[in-house]
Amino acid sequence: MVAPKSRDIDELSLRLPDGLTLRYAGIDELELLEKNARMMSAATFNALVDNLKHDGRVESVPLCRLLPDGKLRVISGNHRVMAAKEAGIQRLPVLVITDDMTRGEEVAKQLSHNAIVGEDDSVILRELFNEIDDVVLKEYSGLDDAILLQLASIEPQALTDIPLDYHVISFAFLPEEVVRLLSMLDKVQADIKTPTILARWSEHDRLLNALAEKMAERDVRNGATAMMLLLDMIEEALGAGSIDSDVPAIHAGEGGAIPSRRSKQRGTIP
Amino acid sequence: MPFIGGLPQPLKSMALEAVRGWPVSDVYVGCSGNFGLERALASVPVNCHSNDISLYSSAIGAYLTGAALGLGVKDQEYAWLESYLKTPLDTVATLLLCTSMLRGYGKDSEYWLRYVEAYRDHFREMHEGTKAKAEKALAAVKVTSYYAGDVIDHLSAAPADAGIMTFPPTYKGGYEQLYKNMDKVFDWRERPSYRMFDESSMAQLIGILTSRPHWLLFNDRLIEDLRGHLVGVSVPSLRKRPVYCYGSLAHTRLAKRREITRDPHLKRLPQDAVISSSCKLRLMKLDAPSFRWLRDCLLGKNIIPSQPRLTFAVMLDAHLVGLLGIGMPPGQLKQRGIGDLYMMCDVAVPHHRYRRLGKLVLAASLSRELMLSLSDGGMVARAKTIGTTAFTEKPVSMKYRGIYKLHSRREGHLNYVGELGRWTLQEGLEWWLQNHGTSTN
Repeated sequence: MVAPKSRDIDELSLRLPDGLTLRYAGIDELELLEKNARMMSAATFNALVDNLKHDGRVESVPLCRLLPDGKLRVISGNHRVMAAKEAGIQRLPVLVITDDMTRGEEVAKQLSHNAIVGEDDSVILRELFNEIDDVVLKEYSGLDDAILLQLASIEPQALTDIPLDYHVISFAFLPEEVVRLLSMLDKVQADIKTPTILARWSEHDRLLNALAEKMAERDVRNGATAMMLLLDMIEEALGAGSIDSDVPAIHAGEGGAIPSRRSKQRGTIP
Repeated sequence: MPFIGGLPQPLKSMALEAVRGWPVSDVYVGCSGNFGLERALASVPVNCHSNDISLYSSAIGAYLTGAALGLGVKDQEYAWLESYLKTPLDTVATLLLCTSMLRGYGKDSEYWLRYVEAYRDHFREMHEGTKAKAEKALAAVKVTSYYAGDVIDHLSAAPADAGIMTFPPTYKGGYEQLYKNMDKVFDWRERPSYRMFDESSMAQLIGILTSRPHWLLFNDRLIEDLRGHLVGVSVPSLRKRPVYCYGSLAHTRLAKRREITRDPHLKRLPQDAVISSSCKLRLMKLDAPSFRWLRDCLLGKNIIPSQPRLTFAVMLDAHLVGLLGIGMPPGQLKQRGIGDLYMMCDVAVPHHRYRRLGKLVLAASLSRELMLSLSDGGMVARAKTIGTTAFTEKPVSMKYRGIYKLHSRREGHLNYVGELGRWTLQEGLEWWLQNHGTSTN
């Protein structure tokens, strides 16, 4: 025996123009588009899923194309179908084009369903939205008072403190520390004869390893603080005259581009 | 430091709209906090009667009403702050600065020592600036009275024809946690006594509010008993809890925060592309709106998105092959040693010829180039490992197998760790070509 609703669908299909039919399809019978220009944010998609869960059914009928192998390819309504699956809906009504179509015709139809759409009159949109009194139904509508610019305007006047004045050079330094760092760089720079400074992988590793060691040794998690501790060591070494100009830089040769020196005594940077 | 526990802006707008429609001359605000509600109501001709129990709020209340606060410094290490408590506005600015400075109170690590020292060294100019800011922010606020004490007592005492509104503490003991260092440093002689705000206080509060004609309650819970009074909701993001507004408001209001996205117009790897060692694999930094756009295009919709600190497009020559989002590991994972960094998002563009582009994206995630770019993002100076989580019921994730090491299995997910800086991008591409680069055509 044919269920009354199925009979209704069959009768309706008979009355549809040639090449078009209605089906109550299983969600797994539907094949989504491989290439779909329509994008939906996760927030919007979640809102769609919530609405479908609330309704327990799909109320806007996707448009499909009947493929030669009997499968149904969703031409319009891909996100609706994905959301229905997410909402646990197993079957849904679909409108099926049974006519043969070229690839161009299919793509044109796909694009037209997204491109040829109307626009909202913002005044009427607000009026309609304001007819909804229940906040939950407002959420169902997909709109909100913020996007419709209906929230009372408040002059933002922050009641906050003035933050510390950090000078940022990759690491966050305090002002005095920047002065100290720059002065240290000046001292080192006096010895640099080339205007170009290139760091090789090994230099990068040396610096970061030195920082990591210092951070572990002094239980510091902040990179700039570790840099300050390294500066302490360099200053100490400079003061003691322990930076030895006769010792070749460990990265000299092999095209090394940074003329520098290394400390050989206590406080040597690894 | 921004005030913690402030009301989201859309809800302040709802409060303003409500009071504009109420036929009241007085509004009693319970738990004034940072006086966000009073500041929102500045343009309405009503008398505000404020309340809180914290030293910070009471200092603002004293400044606005001209009352005395009776405040001194009890911690001798901070005795120098006494000279910054001369006037009520001085006190407000000092306490504002202390909400930031005292984060370092009692800590003896190098970082916090230099942090507190910097505050001390610059306190004079920072205090002047903060004072000017506070004066401006509070200039139009009309607070007629301030009650330092229990919110239940304050709102119970409001006349029947007054409007009342409150945003009570969202978790028990929240205030005590927030201001514990402030209480250690300052000697507040007229400290009010109050009852700890808990479930029974909330029930009592609801009883007071619903017995009045004009009221608003803001809360981050959907309270079943107040369903019929729900008039507003502010939804900050998918990952944050909404804040609800109950009470009397002429129009219901819903405010959702929408993420700004921008199409960066990056061409995807063509389906007929041939990948060889002559191709150049590179990382392109993405700004947040562009990352969100591509994430929404490529990532599964059932994943609640987050915003990583560093975001990259993985490019092969001029074409997009995937996305990477890197952040710091969440607290629990950090404790379990799952990477110095955490990969919050790795996704490849869909491709027919090369089914394992995901592994190429993962190869890029372990590159030295990515490691080098970390300092630009203000992240840890030295990161050797990167962790991630695969949400699956299976014992192994085929996506991560062979490139990341399985760290631990948990119910419904697997934690993986990779060796950061394992190769250059180009070496990573070579590895991928040898192991996963077979074309299916």
